[in-house]
Amino acid sequence: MGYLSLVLHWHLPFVRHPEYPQFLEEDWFFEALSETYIPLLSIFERLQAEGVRYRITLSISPTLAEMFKDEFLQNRYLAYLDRMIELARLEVRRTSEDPKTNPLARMYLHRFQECRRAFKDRYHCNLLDALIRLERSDLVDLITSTATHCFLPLFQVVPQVVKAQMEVAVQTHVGNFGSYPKGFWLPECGYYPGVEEYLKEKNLSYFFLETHGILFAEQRPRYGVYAPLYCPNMVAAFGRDPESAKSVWSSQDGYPGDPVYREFYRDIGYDLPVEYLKPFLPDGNVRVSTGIKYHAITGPGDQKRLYNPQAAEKKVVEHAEHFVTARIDQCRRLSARMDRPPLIVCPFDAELFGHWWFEGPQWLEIVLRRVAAEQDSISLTTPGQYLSQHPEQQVAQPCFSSWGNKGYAEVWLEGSNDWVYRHLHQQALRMSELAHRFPKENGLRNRALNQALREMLLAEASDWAFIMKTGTTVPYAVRRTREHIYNFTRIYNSLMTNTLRQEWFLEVEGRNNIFPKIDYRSCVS
Amino acid sequence: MTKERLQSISLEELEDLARKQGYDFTGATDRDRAALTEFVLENFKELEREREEENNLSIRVEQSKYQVTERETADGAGADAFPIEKRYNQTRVVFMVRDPNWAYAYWDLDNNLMEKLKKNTDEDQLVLRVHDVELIDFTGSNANSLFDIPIQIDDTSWYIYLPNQNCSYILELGIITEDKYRCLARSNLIRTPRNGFSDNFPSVDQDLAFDLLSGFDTFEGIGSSRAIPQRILAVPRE
Repeated sequence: MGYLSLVLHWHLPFVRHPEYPQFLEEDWFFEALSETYIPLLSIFERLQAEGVRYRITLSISPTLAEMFKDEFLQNRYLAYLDRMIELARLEVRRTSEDPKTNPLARMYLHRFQECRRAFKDRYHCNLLDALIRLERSDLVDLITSTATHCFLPLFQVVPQVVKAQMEVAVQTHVGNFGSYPKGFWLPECGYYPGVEEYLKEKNLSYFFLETHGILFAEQRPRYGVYAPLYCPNMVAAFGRDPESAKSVWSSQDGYPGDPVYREFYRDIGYDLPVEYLKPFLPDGNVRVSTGIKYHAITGPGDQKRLYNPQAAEKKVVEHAEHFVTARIDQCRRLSARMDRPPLIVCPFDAELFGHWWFEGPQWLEIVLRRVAAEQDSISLTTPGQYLSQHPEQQVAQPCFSSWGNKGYAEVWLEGSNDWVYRHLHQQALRMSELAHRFPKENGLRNRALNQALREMLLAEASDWAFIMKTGTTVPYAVRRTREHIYNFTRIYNSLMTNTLRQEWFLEVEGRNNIFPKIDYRSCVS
Repeated sequence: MTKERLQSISLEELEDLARKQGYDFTGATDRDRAALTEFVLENFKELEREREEENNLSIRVEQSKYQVTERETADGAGADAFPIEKRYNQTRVVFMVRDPNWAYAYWDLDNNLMEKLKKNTDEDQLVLRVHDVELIDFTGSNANSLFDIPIQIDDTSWYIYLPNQNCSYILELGIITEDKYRCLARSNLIRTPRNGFSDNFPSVDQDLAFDLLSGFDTFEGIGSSRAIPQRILAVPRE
């Protein structure tokens, strides 16, 4: 007998540009809504309706939760869906003579229409309520992450950042979901010894680590990653199981790389003539992905076969069954050596399911059904539930780690992005200076101090350093970093010299309007 | 980096990019432009491929979240619209741990000091002094061991190779004049992480099979990361 704990981390950075009629990077959010968030919610609700007793942990990043409830973005998503529906209709017409492609075009048309129906009619444009309902039904545990996905190990010298990131995260989570988060997702599983002190201050009782964060603990972990460790202050650390991770994450050896599955990179946005796509492209000429993709992974090389949904469906059942059988077998092997049931922790980026791996949501649904039916050999649990059943665990200090390349901090600290930290640390010192100098303010000055804090947090998003390193849309990431540092610094200087330009300030406050209830007095020390 | 972007920058900027890639094309004329663009672009592609290969699975999936276009950005207003300070007129050094072997340091000198140092650079040598302070209460002169890295007055940051894992270090920004060392600023303390198991066992009958069951054999590790982390940059940034 053993436990399986699935954890999905939902996150996107705050991208919202009312100053432009249409903004390319907002598509990150829209694509993820159509391909991941709405499909996952539909699955969770369907299983609930059918009485399947599953358990899953969802980490919803505060920036994403804020975007879910943002009316401006909701309306833009509806407009985006309308464009996609129109494009899919055109595709159905264009392929009408082609019996192989036409059913695929129809599939996409149907998906976009379904998405629109669900978003507008079922969720009333706001996914937060659906998440709240799932949590109340006791099937889902909602946890939070740092306010803006700050990679904490690189902010050790400015602990006020670590505190503010957690404080704002918890306040936002409570405000959005009406419940207190029991656990915490450290962005990128970025851990440094000592960060648990700030978690404890906020009553957050557990977090997740990459495998070696547990394995290389100060004291050898008695059961590897198959039981949590308590940090010396009794906050629990759960380590990622590498065996199951590999089978799901790997694009080569793992399930998502199977030749029959849908290919991620081929998209009609890149394949069809610009002239035809014109009405759907930004500025009428920038090729973008549309989400309409007709090809299967096939194999290496550019020659791709057309996607066959029936073949993919068969494969996904096979893969889900393989996963469950492998976990049961793993539990059996582990149980033989343990005095308690082993716990297999599988954390994933939610966007793996649907966005990267098109068939991923289906796979997840089958896994949840099968495991929920397998009462005897394996059962689904959440870290909170596991800890209440097995409160006695080994105490040891985990090791500095992340799930980025090579396991430490190098993705977020290298030649392309190291320049940001000088500025980010400096603005944290300045934010504290502001809070001390202006402990109690009203009116516009109070709003300016709160906006300074928002700008500080937005600049600290690890997404920007990540993008600089991985090379997609680098200028946007550089621009966002500089924009928030600039805004912060300008507010700081104006407050110090009492020269705030109202017109500019109101424009910035209206645009970067995340965390409306933020209060610098309770968040900055 | 796309061809359109390279075509839109000045010849000097193009030369500068080539220089960062390790090639000197000083004195190139407009006639060389097409060839130079091709060359720089090819190098970027090569670098991108290398970087791509470095990425583990979590990073690749995460990267796909931001992949909505092949072009870098559709947005006209660039970063230039947001000028930020280059330095902060303070004498300070910050030390950041990156992995079991590498740390990153950045520093700043206040304007007065900078002026003074610029005047007599011949006699003074600026250094980063790395102190191993494992298990000691550091007073400034009692490090277990230390080493110096000479730096130039215009340097502002450095990656430092640290010999010991699971060890505490403090960094000083200092100046050596006629063999005499003077500390200008001292950093925070950092501790390098482990790159392997602890020898401290919870019990005498520890079952070592868990190391394998936990997938230690598949741990990518940092064994091969001796390469200098200061890689070529994708975009001119300041």
